[in-house]
Amino acid sequence: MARKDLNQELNELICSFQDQGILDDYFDELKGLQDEESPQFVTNTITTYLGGADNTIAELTTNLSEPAVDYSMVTYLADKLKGSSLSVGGSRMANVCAELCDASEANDREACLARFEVVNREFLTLQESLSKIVQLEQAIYDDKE
Amino acid sequence: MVFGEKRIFALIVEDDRVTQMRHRMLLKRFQCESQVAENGKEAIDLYRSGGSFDVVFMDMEMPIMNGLEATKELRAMGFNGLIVGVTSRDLDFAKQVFSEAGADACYEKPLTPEYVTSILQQINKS
Repeated sequence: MARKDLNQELNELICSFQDQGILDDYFDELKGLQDEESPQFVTNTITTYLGGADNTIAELTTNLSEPAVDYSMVTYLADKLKGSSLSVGGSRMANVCAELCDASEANDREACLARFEVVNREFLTLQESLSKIVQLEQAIYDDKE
Repeated sequence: MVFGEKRIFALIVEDDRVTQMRHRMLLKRFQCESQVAENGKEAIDLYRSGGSFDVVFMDMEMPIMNGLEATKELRAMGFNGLIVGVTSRDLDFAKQVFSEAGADACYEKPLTPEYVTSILQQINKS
């Protein structure tokens, strides 16, 4: 596929995710940081995010399944995931992480479990969306090489 | 960030790898040299071992030593460069506690070109 078509397809995809609220303007700023010196910056950042988020969610799963929940750890992990999600423009994900933070600070186990379920669902959506972006970014990069 | 002939050196104190990557790239756009510390203790150790920074971007929540403790410690050690808190928590609360700890400013994550420009202007004034 011609490079122009790929770029257009990528832009349309990003706009679609932004219209759905999955991504926000911070993603545009992230993309704007990519340059000729770092042509795979977006791909590398997304890949790092997805790997890190996977690990954080696994840690949250472990913590929330303990008989005695370490709420300070849950708050820390949820906040970290929120910050990371903000950095890739994942505003909806960041919002649900913030809600998990609030539940954890209230030491409310039931609320934590309910919010964490939402976090998991939102992450799957964000993961799928970002993976599609990475596929196109990689195709554009390969086309240039 | 370049101020006259002087190149600006920044320390990014942040435990999240993605945020580190974004902030480094953003500062590079302003021709700013940057180094990363994964937590407050690493930042303190860098400064103690002779590190020289014009500005420290300090995350609040980090393992081992958090940003507020690290800010207080840096000031107690005589660091008089700019310390900028960066937070994903409630901004009003973060501004208050970072200010009490000795920081000069506090911004929401992630840093934006507008925030960095504002910080550059503060360095310019000083």
